[in-house]
Amino acid sequence: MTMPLSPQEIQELAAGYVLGDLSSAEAEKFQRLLAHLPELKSEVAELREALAMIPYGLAEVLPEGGLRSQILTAAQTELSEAFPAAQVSTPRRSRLPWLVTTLAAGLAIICGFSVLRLSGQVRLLQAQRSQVRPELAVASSPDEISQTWSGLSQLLKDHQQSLVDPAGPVDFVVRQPDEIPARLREFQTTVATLPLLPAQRGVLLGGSSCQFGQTKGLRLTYRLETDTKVSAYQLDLPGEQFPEFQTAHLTLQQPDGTSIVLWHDDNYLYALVADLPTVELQNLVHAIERT
Amino acid sequence: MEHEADDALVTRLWKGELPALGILYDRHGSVVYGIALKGLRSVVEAEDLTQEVFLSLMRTRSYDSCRGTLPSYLTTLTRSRVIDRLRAQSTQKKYLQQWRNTQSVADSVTPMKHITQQEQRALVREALTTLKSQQREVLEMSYYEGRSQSDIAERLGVPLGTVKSWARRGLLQLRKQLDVLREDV
Repeated sequence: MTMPLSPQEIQELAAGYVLGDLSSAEAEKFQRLLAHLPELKSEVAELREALAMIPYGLAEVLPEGGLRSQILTAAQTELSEAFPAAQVSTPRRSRLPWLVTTLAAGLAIICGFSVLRLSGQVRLLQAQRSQVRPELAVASSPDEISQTWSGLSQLLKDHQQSLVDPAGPVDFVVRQPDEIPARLREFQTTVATLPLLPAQRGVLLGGSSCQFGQTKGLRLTYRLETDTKVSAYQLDLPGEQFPEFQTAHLTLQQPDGTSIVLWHDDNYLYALVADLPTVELQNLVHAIERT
Repeated sequence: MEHEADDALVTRLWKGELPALGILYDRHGSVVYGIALKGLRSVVEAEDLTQEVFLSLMRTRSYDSCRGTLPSYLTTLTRSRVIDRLRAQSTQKKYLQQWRNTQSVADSVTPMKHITQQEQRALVREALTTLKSQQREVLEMSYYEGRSQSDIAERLGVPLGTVKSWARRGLLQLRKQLDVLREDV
């Protein structure tokens, strides 16, 4: 029977918990306390709040005035994609594949592995024309963009949310890739078609089911040696929706540094997403394709 | 309008209203930038990270007022992104793990009265002055320099238990003092 702790000792444990410096014995003790003293949770929350205030003690440094407009411009670009002006138009079947039209929407594009960096919507549209079949590259109307934008933006969002999910990035943990197909309910796949990264390049943390609009698929999450997490998607797009790339891969880079590489075979669309330089991500794609 | 609450501005931002982001940036931009600059020690990187944080606020919609205030969300997020970048540069793993843990805020807190950033800075500075110098030093070393407590113990030439005790009591004192000062606002 251990001695009950004094309020002061309990508070110090809570502070240690928030600071992340509890020893394993203390951590166990604190978990037991948390289970018995619900009010400790608000104590912990208040201590976290206090800790988060520490930087307000710094002398104020003002960023350059240009940063504000730079951020607002970047936000404007994203908002115009997320809230296109003609959102309520009659949906009509677009011949434009959802991915290709997204290219017009403000991402810097690096096409194939030839590292062609472009910016500005007009140039993006031109790039689009030069990289896809002419009949697919007709300048898009706003409703087509709104209809077709969602796929890629949802995919990016899914990747980003997986990184901040307090429950961890994956729905299920697997030890071996061959356990994956059985864990997916809505999506049919085989081990041979999974986007598998060789073990020496990254640790497979597990998988998650995803759905972007009508498109079902899976996300595998890898952790690289640098601790960067990489999402590898395999999506079930019907054949006619595939964008036709002139090159085998399409590489996109977001202003925040997130890179995406897209490629497909006859049955699936694949995407690799991570906060990595595009060249590194392309190397990982090569590694996946060689497995 | 001048004192429109942060939460209302975030809601407007998520509806696609760009001016809301401008106001949020004016309110919280300098503290975000300050943490980024202190951690990354590069103006270019700090600006880049500040942009990343505000775009992330808009994009991920992971801010939840039930879990904490916006200033606390932003400082914690910024810190976590600083850590990500430092981690890419070096291997201060233990420290990183500690700060990761503070990310999973999942409890409700008493809503803070709306105070301006200037008032906030004044409050925190005043509260920090009530900490013993060792308490403050240890807290700031681990907050800004990304040092583990064992690393700090080694640097200061004191036992690990002492460092832990300074940090814990320092944090408790900071919380207590902030409560007292906020009552007075």
